[in-house]
Amino acid sequence: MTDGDLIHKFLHGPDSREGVSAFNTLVWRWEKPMYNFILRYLGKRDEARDLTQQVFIKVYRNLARLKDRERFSPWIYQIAANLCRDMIKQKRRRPSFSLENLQESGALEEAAHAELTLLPEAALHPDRVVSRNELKEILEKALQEIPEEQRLVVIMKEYQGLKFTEIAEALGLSVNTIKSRMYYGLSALKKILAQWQIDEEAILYDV
Amino acid sequence: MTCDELKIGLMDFLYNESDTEAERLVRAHLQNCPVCRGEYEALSRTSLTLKAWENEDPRLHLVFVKESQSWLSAVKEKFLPARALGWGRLAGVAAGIAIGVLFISALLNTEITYDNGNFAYRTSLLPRPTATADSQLVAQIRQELNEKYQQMLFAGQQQQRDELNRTLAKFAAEVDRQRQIDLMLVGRGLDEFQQHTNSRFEQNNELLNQFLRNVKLPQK
Repeated sequence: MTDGDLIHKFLHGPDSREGVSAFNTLVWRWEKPMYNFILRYLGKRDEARDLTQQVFIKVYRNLARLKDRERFSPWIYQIAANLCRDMIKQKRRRPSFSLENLQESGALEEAAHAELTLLPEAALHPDRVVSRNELKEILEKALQEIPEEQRLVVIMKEYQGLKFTEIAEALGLSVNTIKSRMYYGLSALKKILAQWQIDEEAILYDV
Repeated sequence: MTCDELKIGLMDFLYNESDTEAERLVRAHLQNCPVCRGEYEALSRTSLTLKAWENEDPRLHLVFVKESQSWLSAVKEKFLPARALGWGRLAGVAAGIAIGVLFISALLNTEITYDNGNFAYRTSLLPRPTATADSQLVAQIRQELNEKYQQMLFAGQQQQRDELNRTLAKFAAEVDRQRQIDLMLVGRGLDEFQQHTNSRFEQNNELLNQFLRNVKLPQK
């Protein structure tokens, strides 16, 4: 059953058992992609969990407004991207300085040590081989280093596997702008990873 | 195709989204340009490295359930914003309420009058003082009219009572007069009857005397 079929079933009787069941199937199908998209964009797991829930609440409330039911994918990414942007704006307006955040961002260590401590462990030991878990942390940090608009496109392309036209539709931009952002985002990541000495040879592929 | 032009085409090529002709052009450029070829290989490796971050399980298991909802909460959900009111939204809501109050006030103080085929329309945000005076005058007139009506009602009732009394008195007098006439007629009848009876008695007496005088009764 396609997303369009599930949406049709849900909209046909949103309060019926079948409607609720169809919506839950949609949630079950999209929960993981949404969480991972938001996580890669914001870099915080707790925020990603909260926003994933908010995405589905928004979807529940606004699904009837979706004109083309077959275009659910760009639509839900649009909702998620907007929520992420709102969250970033909110954080800029009211930056929080909880101990947890400071520890997470490394600001405490930064205050105590030199700025080199912000770099991943592997960057300090070029000869070391990094495991997949370490690489995940490195990529998490690297993604946060590139500009927001480029990060968004890179995540949508690399991890969510959207086509350039779908990304353009979700973000309301031209396809060429998206490709350009993708190019510069990928180039920036290439440079960052090169600086941190992360290349194929450094990666230990877990069996 | 120049190196700059390749940047856009390279993205399509890297993610297998280019059409046949564009793919041919990119391939041709990469074969002839070692710089772009190096760039393509580096970007390709970066893309591959990024893929190493696999999807995580959110362990959310979100499930939507149908809750029974009161009509009040349904209305709230429909009309009140889900997120908290910011200052801007708060100001907007306050402005909306103020406009609504002014509109209702203007509507309540609207006066439409009709005089000799002409309609006149007048409105104000606050009730006009004259309107209060008018309403007091109306109340006063209404009270006076009420008093007059009460007086007229009382006078009418009094008149009806007097009329009734007069009619009853007249009727009683008439009854009395008829009774007098009847009594007089009865008295006269009785007198006539008495006279007639007396004359009959006298006649009988006379006849009896005559009879006694003419008839000789036998001697015992």
